[in-house]
Amino acid sequence: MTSILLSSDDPQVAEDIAFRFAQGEGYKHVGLSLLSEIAKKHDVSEEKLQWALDGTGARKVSRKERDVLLSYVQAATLETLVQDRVVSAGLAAHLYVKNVSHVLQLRVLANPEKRLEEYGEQHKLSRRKAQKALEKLREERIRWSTESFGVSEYDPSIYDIVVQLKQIDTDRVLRIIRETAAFRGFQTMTYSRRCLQNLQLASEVHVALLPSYPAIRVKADGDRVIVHVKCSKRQKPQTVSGIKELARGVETVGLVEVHTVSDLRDADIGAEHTQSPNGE
Amino acid sequence: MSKVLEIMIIDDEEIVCRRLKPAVEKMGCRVETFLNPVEALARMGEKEFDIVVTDVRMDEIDGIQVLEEARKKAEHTEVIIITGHAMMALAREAMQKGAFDFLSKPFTPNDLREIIMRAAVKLGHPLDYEIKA
Repeated sequence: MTSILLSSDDPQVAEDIAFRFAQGEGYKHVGLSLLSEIAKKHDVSEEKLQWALDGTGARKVSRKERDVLLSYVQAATLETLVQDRVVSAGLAAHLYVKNVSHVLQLRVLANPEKRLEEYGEQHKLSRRKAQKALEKLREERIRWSTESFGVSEYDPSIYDIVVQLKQIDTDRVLRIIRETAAFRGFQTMTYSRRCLQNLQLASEVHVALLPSYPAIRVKADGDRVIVHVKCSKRQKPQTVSGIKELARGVETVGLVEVHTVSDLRDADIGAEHTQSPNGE
Repeated sequence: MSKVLEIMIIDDEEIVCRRLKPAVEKMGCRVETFLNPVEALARMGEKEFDIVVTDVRMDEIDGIQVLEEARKKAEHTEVIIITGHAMMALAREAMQKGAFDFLSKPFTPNDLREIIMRAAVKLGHPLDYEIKA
């Protein structure tokens, strides 16, 4: 069965729709409540995980720390998504679940007038200032998503559906999701389930490697894991053996292949799990 | 006594047909294999198959055309696509056109057996077979 990833320029909108859809259709709802489990598992604060996901405002976590925190979120979210009938919002899954045919990706744009009005009221800003603030938020989100996942969340091509809550109301959106999720093209098949399992395993290995090797790309194919790492010739033997040892510590990992590259962009590995494109 | 499922396997790689035939026959199914999809379609005109397992990339006719033809010839026939060139767009196309499942190569005989078991249930003829790890 289909799983659904929702995102919005207004996080509350995505969360509300995800919740209502899950309630109405009997899907499992996975949202920000997952962060407390992740915080406990990795002994980090929930607040920091939220900052890492938010991507706006003054940087409260360093880039390196943010990448580590996002890798925790990614691995935990993918673990829930390998079950069928999951609807998720708020965990940035729309940016790292790629090429999984049974996952329906939907971007819901808030009603611009309503959003402007509400944002102005909430932050006690004039209409003009609220508009500027929202534009800034948009730019920050584009920067954050591009830096963290190599793709802008404002790029419509990453979604199956983009809908704006202007002429179309929430009830209609829920109907659109229900009807689209029923298309045969969005049904789970052995291939798409495997693609998702591969992403999940890659994300787990990524979590294990990232603190020691910040410039990596990880791909999984069954129990085989392929790691591309940026390192010098001199560091190669030590890096390769270190990565192999850490990766083999992840349950279900079989063969580990390590490729050293001078530029991670040379690592043409398709729908991989990608650490930041700049590898920093 | 449960019905013996009629299964057609189409793959232009002989080794695939040679390996899959006994693996599926072990489940108590009757299996016919074809290296040539044109001959396979001709055979479909003579006999109804419950399940068709087909590769995608083949000369003359591809697996998606086989799927369409198989569904036209016998609506109840379930088609399983196997391919070494899996891509999301192809997988979605196959599913939209009515494929029962889509499996990327390489796979184990048990992977295919598990899908055939599910297809058999959908067809109303569950197989009395236990997949051993």
